[in-house]
Amino acid sequence: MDKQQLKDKLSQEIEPPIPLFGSFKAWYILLLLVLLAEIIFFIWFTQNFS
Amino acid sequence: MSRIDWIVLCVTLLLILTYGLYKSRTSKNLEGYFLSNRNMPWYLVLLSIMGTQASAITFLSAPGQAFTDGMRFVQYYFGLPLAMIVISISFVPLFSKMKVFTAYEFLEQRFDLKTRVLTSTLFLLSRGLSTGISIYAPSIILSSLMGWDIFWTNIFMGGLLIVYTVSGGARAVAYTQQLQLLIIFGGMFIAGYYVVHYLPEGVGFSEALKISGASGKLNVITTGITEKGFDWKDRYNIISGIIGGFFLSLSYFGTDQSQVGRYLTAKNNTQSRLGLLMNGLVKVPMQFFILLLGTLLFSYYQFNKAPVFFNGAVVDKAMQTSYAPALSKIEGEYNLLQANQQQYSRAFAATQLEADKLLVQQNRKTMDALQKEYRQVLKQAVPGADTNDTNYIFLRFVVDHLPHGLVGLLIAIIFLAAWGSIAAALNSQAACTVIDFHIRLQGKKHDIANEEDCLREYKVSKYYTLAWGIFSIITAELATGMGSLIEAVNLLGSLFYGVILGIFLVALYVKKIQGNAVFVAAIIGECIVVLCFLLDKWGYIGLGFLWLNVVGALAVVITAWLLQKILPASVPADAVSVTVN
Repeated sequence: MDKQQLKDKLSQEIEPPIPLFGSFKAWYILLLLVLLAEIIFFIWFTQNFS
Repeated sequence: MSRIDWIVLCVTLLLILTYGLYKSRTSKNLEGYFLSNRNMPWYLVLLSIMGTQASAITFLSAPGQAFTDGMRFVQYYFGLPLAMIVISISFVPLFSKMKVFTAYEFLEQRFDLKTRVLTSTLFLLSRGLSTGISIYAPSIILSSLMGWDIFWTNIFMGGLLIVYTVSGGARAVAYTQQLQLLIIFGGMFIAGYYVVHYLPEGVGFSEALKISGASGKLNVITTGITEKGFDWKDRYNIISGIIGGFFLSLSYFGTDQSQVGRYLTAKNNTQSRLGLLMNGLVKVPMQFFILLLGTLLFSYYQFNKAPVFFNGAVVDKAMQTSYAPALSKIEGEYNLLQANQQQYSRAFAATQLEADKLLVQQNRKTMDALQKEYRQVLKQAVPGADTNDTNYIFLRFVVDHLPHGLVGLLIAIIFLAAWGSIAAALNSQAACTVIDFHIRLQGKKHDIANEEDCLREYKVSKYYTLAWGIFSIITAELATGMGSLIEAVNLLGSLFYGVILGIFLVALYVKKIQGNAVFVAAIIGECIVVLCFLLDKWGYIGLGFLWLNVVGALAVVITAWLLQKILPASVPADAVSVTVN
């Protein structure tokens, strides 16, 4: 195992903190809210321009 | 193409090729070659996931799809963010914990060897064929528009990327995809700018939207519900988009090695998940903007002369036949209507009155009917010719109207988009062949401490990558006209994806079902999917292809559950508990 591989292996072992919200649950909620907002925007877009 | 276009095209392609070779340095073992030593940050994982999914077809077909059918295609991606969440919760932690190279390795630990081999075979079969289409699709369009020889276009489209994919494996693939996407997004933005810039004076972005909206092109949300109830045959609506799109995305991102191989390159679990979740955030808006480009293009052609049929090569052939007078007559009538449409569109852009809108709509309907008639005559004049010109619309605009230099750049973008997805596919196909077949069926354990073994496996992996590259080019050379190619690729995927997903769903969520039951269920499930596809094709049932993913997955889960009650249990000696609790 060369130096680079060892470095990579060590970096895998340590799970870093989850950025921005500190939890993946918050990320999942964000994703759902964004999807909902997109669908609402698309409904508005369809009604306004079609 | 002008000299400057050729220079831009060659320089861009050489830049990627050189960059790919420059980034080829990796550890000479399987971990380095297939997983880039698992050291990628989330943003490289994200770009690699996006670069793998977005093929040349995405950038060629999507604007054309919006031009002809409107923007409702975006609904197809509504299930994707939901799938990203499920994969982040269930699939990624398991793959990461088990340190697998391929998604199918997990199936042997959960079930048995035969289930792993069957699933890997289904993947190789579908991915092998669709990689061929990914080469052929842009090649046939470029060769028709530019007059290039299809044989050599296929060779260049599928051949040059093999150099860096064979040499650098997953690392070279990820780094080139990063640069490719930057160039692609830059080029598409410039093309969009020119479409709006070329609109007549007094017609801005908002007026352009109103004009395409008046012709029904801004139908982003459709329900698929008719007077007779829900239309199962309707391909893109919010219901099939969320449910069918969810199953397709879950299968594609959770069980297709070309995608699993991308996020397995991440430094850790967190980076893999972040890459996937970010993909869920950006995919729908990205697709929306690509489709919007198509509707802007539609508006542009309401003020400018458009060909009746965008694939000039087919028209040229038809004009050599006895059908030429009939075609010329339709063209004449179409041109008159087009002149009227320009007037009506200008009036509507200026006044926004309902009466003017009605004129635009009625005239458009007559034009569409003439286009349909023109296609039917083309079909009679050139039997076997592809009379669907969706894939030619955007590139025809590029070639006919964009300034010198930009044409070369946009054509380079088609190559780069194709390279990104094909390179990832070749890398994943080689990974499955080496890990699931070559090493596994030899009965040898993969020993990372044995340098000689590692080097031999590394070399074998390179040969398999090369072999799959050659196979894909041969498939591309053998491919023939298949209508809208973006749909052909998705349709091909849908024939296998549902079943593969069903196997993984059983593996992850239904603890009591074992190998024999799921294996037989997978075979029965595949037969059911093919049967549904054929019944739909022959007109006995009406089922949009997105639903095949749902049918396949549910067929496997239900059949496996029933079979488990009948078949004797068979627990492999080394089976481990790997289901989601």
